[in-house]
Amino acid sequence: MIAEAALRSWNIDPWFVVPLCVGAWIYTRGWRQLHRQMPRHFASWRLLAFLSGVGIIFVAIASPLDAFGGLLLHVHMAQHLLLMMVAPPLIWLGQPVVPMLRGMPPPFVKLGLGPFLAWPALRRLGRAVSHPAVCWVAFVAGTWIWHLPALYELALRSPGWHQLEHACFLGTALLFWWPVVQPWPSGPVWPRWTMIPYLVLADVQNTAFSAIFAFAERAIYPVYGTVPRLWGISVLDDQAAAGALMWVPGSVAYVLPIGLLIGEILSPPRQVRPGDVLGPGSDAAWVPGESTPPVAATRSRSVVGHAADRGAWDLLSVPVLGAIVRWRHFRRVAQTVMLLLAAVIVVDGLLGPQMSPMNLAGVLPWTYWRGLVVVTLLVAGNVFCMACPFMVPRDLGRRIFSPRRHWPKPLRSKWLAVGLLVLYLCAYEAFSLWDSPWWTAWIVVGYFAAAFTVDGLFRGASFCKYLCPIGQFNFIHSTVSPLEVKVKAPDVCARCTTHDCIRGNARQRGCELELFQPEKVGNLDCTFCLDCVHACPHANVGVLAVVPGSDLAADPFRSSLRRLSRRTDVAVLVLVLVFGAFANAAGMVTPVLEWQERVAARIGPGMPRWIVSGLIVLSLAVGPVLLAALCAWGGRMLGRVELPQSELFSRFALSLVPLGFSMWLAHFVFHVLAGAGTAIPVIQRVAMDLHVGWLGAPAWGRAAAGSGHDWMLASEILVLDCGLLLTLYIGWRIALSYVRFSGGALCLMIPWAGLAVGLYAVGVWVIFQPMQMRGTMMH
Amino acid sequence: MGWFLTAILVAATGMIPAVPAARADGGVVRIRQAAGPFEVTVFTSPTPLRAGPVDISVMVGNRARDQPVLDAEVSILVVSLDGASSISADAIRENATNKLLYAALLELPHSGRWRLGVGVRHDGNTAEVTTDLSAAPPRPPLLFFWPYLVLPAVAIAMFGLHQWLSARPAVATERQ
Repeated sequence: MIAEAALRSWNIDPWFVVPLCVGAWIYTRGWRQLHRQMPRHFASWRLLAFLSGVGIIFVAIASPLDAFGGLLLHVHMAQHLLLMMVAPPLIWLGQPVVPMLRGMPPPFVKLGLGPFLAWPALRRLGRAVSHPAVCWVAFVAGTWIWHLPALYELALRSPGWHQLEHACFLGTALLFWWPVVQPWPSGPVWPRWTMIPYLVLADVQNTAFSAIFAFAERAIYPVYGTVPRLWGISVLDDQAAAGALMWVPGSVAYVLPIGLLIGEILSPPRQVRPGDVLGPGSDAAWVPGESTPPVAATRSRSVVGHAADRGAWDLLSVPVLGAIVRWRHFRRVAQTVMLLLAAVIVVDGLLGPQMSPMNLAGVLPWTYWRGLVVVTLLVAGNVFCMACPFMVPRDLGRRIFSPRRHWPKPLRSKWLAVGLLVLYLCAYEAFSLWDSPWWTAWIVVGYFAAAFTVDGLFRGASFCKYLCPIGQFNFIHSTVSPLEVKVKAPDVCARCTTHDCIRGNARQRGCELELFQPEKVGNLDCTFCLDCVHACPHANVGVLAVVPGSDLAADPFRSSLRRLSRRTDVAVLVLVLVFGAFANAAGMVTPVLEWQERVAARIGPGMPRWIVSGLIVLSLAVGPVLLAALCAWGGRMLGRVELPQSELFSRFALSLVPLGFSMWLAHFVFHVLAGAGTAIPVIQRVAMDLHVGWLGAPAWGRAAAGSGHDWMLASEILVLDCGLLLTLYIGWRIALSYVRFSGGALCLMIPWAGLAVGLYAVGVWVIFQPMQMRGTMMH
Repeated sequence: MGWFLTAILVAATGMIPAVPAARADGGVVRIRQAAGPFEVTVFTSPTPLRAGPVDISVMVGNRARDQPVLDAEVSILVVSLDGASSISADAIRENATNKLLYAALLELPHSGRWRLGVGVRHDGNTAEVTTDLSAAPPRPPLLFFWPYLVLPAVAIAMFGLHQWLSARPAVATERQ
């Protein structure tokens, strides 16, 4: 039973397991390609060696060796031996340099890693670090220093120092074994025979080191005297066993390669056979620092490998899922489901208990729906607009009134939508909509009425395109989605004369939002209705994978939207949504709420709604526009570009979309996770009201907000990190489109970067504050 | 290249739940004492002990047989010396990385002096050991989550270096 318990003592830490798995995966990909080209050079045993080395590292860190290392010294030494004597030579025997480079996408290697690999300073560092003398000294120093009692016991007390200790052991051991194994394509700096004294001297120091432990008459590490002695092993016996372990198996680890080296030196030179080399120059030795590894330097297809573009991934071509999404009635089914949910929300909001955690209108839209919208935007695209329940009243209005008028030309912009969005966000706080099922229900009803009226009076999707605040939220944030409805082969569209995607045909209407597919760029104004997919007679429109945010950096002519550099209304819409993300979250944190209470105490009972609304208008519209205008002016001055300020304002504002989206995502998903159980008792309550008792009595304890676990906060920060980095990258690309040299681009971008970093800092501050858990029962 | 970045991102998200915190895997010995038929050793982590999540691990040894007892009932009670707060929990082996230990993850609500009591029940025998603990104030969130906060700066620095290195051959050509 004790042995069984000991064997179950594994510690699988994702922080090291995931990188190990990723490294093994990349190596295996590269090895498979090289094995096809050079089966003798990259034989199967190389793969086995590398994966075994990775596996040994996993065993050393995750197995019971780690759990018992603090109780038994010889177990801890076994762990160190695996990390220093077994894993590194196995890894180098796998000849990992070329397979790792080959296992990554060639553009990433060439454009991403290439500049670093060709950097002279890094080459010099590589030469210095891989020199056998340096490798030997680093290995021995690392071994002795980390086994000094003060440092050893520090590593036992502190997980962070323990991880650093293991990283040092592994790193110095990889250095030590490099000149011994000399993995291809590297070549020796010293003659091969010098590795014999190299290993002999290492064995000598190992012997001295081991003897200290084996023959010491007192405990070198007093900490082992304070812990329980398992299986009756005394401290000194444990210490002697550790010494013996380092001495015998440790010496074998040095002696075995000495024997192999002697055999290698005395053997006749090996004949180079076809399939052993890559091509011209590839049999030249590569010394780290002397030159770029062949796979990064050459443009030869045989090394860089498969460069054929296979075309973007199309969701509609995925078996089963693609067929479901392509099904003509899929959208209507999804809309019907959402319509039923909306009806349930309205009914319960009007007739149910007016306490938001007890009402579907308080829980479903404000806790679950918002989180699901942002998650689906992140992983797919504008799925909510695809399944929008307000399509039903829109279609009804069109059928009843058969509108012929177009939306008024002066209103064909996003300004109305901006106003409605600001109004909605004001009302949300001023009237505490989240806490009022009744108001929530009436908002839903109002939405239906507005959609029915507008699309009953005007042709096209005027409600979606020019008014719907939810739609504008989805349009803007779908610019960072990984999927886009777009043309598969542009040359097919070039030959098309019927333009069914926008005009429609007998069996299918065209795009209501006037997006002409050959000129459509990005997801803006796209509701993912797939009318264009169904209308296209050439099946040339798909739901294709794209790089998130890729169309924010460019300024092409866009169908229906024209150039975004001239669309100040779109830029202001973006600013409202970006600053709205931070203001909405900040409005729920304790310090801000306390400040509101202090102000209210001075003014009078209750914070007057006009003050709240005024603050929101300032923080969402006025303030952001002024800040952005300042950034545009500042960038223009610093970058010395002769461009209209409005153009800089409009283009750089778009770069903030990823950061704003990351704040919405972090905030809403936090509420979903913290309030994950809130819907269950509400559904139970509704069932009881309908005299359906099999769901049981409402378990209101589940409606209590969960505590914010550390991993949730870490996730939020990581999401913000990604948003900030993507925002800065897009801003950089925009700046480079105006100023070719880096210094000028940096000057142009600096004010916007400062704005982004400032928003990021606000976001981090908000994340660390206690937050009002709206829609849940308080503890 | 999109699939590659997607795969790396998906793999990276798997690392998120492992935020460093008390992980119920031993720590520093607080007390090792014979109590009745048992030898009870109590470990705490993190070091130094701070308000917030703490791990308390207990090893229960049979003094007569000199081997761990793996089917005991172990309870933990932590009381602040000013009497303002107390927390109790059952320590179980499933919470511990080292399955010879019984562990409980507790949340110390504030810093200060605490009295830790560990109760053991096995085969009709009971024992109790107590010791005093001193909990430091919790680490500020900025320090606790510093790797995540430093990440953008590292990425920006690497990108900046990359852009500078990429531009260098063009600069060298122009100078020629």
